[in-house]
Amino acid sequence: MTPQFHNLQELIAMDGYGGYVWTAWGLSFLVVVLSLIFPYLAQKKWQKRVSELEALLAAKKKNEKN
Amino acid sequence: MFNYLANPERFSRFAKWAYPLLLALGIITLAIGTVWSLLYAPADYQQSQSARIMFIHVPAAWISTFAYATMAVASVIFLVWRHNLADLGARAAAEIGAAFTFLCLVTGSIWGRPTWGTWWEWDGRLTSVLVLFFLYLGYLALRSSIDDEQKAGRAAAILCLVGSINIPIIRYSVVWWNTLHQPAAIIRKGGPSIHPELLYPLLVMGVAFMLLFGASLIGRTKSLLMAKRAKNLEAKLVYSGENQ
Repeated sequence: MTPQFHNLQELIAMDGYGGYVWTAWGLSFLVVVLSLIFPYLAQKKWQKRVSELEALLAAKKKNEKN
Repeated sequence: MFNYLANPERFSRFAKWAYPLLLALGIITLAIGTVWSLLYAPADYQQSQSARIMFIHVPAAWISTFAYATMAVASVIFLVWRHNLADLGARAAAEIGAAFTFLCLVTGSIWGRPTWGTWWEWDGRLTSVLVLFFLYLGYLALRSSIDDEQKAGRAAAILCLVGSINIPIIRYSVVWWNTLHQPAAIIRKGGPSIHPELLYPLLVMGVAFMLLFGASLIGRTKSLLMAKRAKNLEAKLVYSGENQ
């Protein structure tokens, strides 16, 4: 396998198709990253909420016993 | 397998190791595929460097239909066996599928401009994929418009199954109609028509997208499961407060 471009300018220009290629690739990476980040952030948010609620319920049960 | 994972506790245990594994493998495969596709794969003899859009457009198209198939299978499981986790999985697949169908449409449009001389054409393949995108949006809108989760899940599952007729239409649109979109070049009788130097990096990108779709699906299903658990706990708190 040999590299298809000799320098960075050639890679960016892509024989005049750089605007199309880099826009498509940039957008794809954005969608892939967001599709991974959003579920992760949502997991963190709900994990925190579940822990808070479990602690609240436990405290309430303790109060009821006392 | 379905029955095994239908249990939320077991699913959480499965997600604990499957999510990071798929994520790590997906990122490594994506890095290899990106370098191969952008730096080492040769330019197409007709489309020149614009053909490098293929390496992301085609995997996005695969995920857009694969996510719908996942959603349809999960919908059947939910309707027949009433597994709530399958309903959450279908919703997660719909959200990710909508994002990748949008990506497929936009990258296809960007590729179409230098190749066909137009951003959009109402041909069979493009129109059926646009219908798929609207099906995803319709599914998500229907779910959010009904408050009762069970009713929302059932209505959305039926819509999903009715809409699955669009999947073979997408697949065969390039065969049934004389269309601007090129015919199938990979999954076809007689084997792929793409040169191996372009085919292999494309397959690596396809595997990367599949692995990342899997990671995203598990992550989103887990977050929906946690949201449901939080709602149940909130209801428990309110109920215990009212009884005091």
